[in-house]
Amino acid sequence: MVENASPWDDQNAADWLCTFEAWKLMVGFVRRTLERDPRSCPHEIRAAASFVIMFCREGTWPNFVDPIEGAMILDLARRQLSVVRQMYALEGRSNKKLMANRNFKMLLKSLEEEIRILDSRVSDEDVTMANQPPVTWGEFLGKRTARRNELDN
Amino acid sequence: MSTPEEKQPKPKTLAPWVHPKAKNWFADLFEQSGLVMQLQDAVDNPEQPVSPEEARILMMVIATLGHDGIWPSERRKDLQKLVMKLGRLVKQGVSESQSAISMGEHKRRQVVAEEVKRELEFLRRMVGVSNRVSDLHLPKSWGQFWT
Repeated sequence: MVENASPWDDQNAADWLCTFEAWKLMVGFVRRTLERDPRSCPHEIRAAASFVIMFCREGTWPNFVDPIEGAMILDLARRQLSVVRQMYALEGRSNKKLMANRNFKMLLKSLEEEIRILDSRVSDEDVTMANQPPVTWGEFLGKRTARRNELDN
Repeated sequence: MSTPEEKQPKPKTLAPWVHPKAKNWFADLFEQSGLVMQLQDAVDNPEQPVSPEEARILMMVIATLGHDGIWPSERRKDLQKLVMKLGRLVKQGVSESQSAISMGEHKRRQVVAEEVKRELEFLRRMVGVSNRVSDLHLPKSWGQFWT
């Protein structure tokens, strides 16, 4: 693959997306959610953090580099998601039945992977990890069997 | 604190967009931003046509947000229409001939054009517009998408 050939590497297209009104509103919505208390809205925080994982990179995030909005959001998402993970882990520690539950373990593992992905984006050091979605994201952007053609027009 | 996840049977139901509160959050995200309508306006605006490069970045956005459970289910038809229109827009860009460019640049554009075709197929598969059933892989041009 040639260098700088990702869809978000084209400067004009990236500028266009980042100034798109709906996109700015979405990014603002995500930021405001991440500023909320994770103890009162863990599911919303995780959803917002997943949006950050999907789009917080140069080219698809307004002001990613200047005024370093990207690093700030990645770090915020990472910290807030860590609080969510801690809450679940604490609850698991006091509830053996829950801790033995396969899905609960899977959720904790996924949260760890989501945090590591955010980590890898803020860290200056090379974080070696597989280029794949977290364990609970299923067939998101990956292997998938196409459904039947639903077009009827 | 409740952990309703415990009651959910399949691992894939633990994705960040599945819990009812997360589902509502994504619904609000779409609703309050007006993304779907603005995308439709953008690809339909003859006075300010979307460039092939802009169409390409939108394909990435839509391949990602077009996922079942994230994209509003009542707007799925709109999603498929958007995909068809974006497909036309990027193909136009691929077939347009560029004059007076170096051999290296010509080659580079060819490689990118091939990859854009794969991105389009990827997108079509993601939103269920394609019937192919082979394994689906992230386009190479997306590079280290996750990390």
